[in-house]
Amino acid sequence: MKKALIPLLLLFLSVPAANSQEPISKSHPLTLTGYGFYDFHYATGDNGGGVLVLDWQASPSFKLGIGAEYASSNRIAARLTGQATLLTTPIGQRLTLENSYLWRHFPSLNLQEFTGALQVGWHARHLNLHLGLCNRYIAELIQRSNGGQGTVFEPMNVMFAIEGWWYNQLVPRQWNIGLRWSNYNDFVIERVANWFFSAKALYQLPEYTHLYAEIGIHPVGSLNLTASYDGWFLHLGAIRTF
Amino acid sequence: MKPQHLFILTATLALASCNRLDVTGMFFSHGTHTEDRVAQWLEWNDQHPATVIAGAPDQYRVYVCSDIHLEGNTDRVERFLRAEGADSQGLFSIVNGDIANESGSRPFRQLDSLISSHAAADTCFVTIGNHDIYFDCQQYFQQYFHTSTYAVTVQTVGGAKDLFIFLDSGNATHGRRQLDWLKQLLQQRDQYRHVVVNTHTCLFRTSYNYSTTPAANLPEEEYYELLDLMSQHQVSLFLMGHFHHKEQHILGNVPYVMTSNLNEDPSYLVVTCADKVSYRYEEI
Repeated sequence: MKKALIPLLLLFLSVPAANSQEPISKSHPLTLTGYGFYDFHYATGDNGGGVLVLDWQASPSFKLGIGAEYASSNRIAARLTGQATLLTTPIGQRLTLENSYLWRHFPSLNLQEFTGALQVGWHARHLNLHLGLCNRYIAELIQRSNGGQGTVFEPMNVMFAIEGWWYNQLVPRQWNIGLRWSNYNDFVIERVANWFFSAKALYQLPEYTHLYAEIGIHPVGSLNLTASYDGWFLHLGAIRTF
Repeated sequence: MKPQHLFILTATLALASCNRLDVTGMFFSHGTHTEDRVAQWLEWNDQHPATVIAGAPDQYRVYVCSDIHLEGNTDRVERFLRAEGADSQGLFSIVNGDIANESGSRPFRQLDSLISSHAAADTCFVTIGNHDIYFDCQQYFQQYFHTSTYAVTVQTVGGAKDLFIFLDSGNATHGRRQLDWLKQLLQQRDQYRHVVVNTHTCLFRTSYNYSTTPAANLPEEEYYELLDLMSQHQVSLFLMGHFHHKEQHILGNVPYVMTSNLNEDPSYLVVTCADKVSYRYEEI
């Protein structure tokens, strides 16, 4: 087998960075998540935008999601996610396997990025855990098309998310709040030592709609670098099931 | 107390009392932040004339290493400096961050003294690395090397000018002030034959070394901005360290080269500046 095929195979075996709030019933198999965001980075300035994600519960054990993001820093992104439920306990805890593909384009930078990820998830009453790996290609497409070397491949980046909810999330509730520590969000996958710390809130309105809010910080440097403040972010939106 | 609790307590106490690993610094910066440090570096630059090396040959060589982590034995650093001094085309050397591996001023004093004794004719330029700001050590870096955000111009006898830029990425960010300074400097790109940028923290995460995993990179937003800045201005060479192994990439026509360290995989880089910039690794 050609060596070049190995990363490609690894890529196809890899990514999805699925959001973990998804109580979808059989009668309401579609969930639409939409939120606006504001991101402030100390070094590179601020950045606002919007995200839309549509999830389809195709069967009791399989969910497919597509999503798109627009950011004012001249970034557009699209994501495809498949989530299989491998095990469900009698009280509703679930073991999942998620596979996603993320494409991001930075028009002003002439750069594109393609990430594939594979994650195992555990969704319990108060806890969501995700652990996985992702592979990423960064491409300077103009350079590539001119025959130059314009690609960098970053393999086996660890992805993790630890999310705790105050109330049992497996039982429908009017509202819930939680904390999250991870190195990724819906459309950004940082390297393993660059973290996001955030607080999340959900509030249920009538007619299968939740309001959603998340506020967090994004320090630079941790573990083998001394940490310094970099930025913060705010997500505000709604989740609607159909 | 359960054995597991005893283990965790012992490990925490051992790490907290360690003079090599700044445990609290992994989560909170208790020295200066990047912005404050860069302000200090630029203030020093304002008070001192920029370094210009005039009368260089049209083809010359620069010796580059990083991650020397001085811990008493200085043999490999001496060999590196001696190699540059012995090369008739050698113009200067560069130590690209991580001088120290422990708290205190000793490693900085030691490197300063080695540079003075081994590079009498030539000089050595230094940048700050993440280990150099552990335990609030940047004060010692400042005491001996004064600045980590600066530029050096080389003027050759044939009339060419090359620019070497040195950056502070000790906290895994260059910060707003430094990026602005860098952008301003790169506006004058067309005045120079070559521009070589030096920073400690590696931009990419393409391979792993057990001794430096997991070490952090720049945040994504900054990393992409920097890549674009380098390709927009067709920087001739971008030099990095941090992960203790050798690595080379070309993106947007810009070569990104990582030097190894002087301990596990001891080697340095020899950069030749002529009509084109080329480089090779030399094992120690």
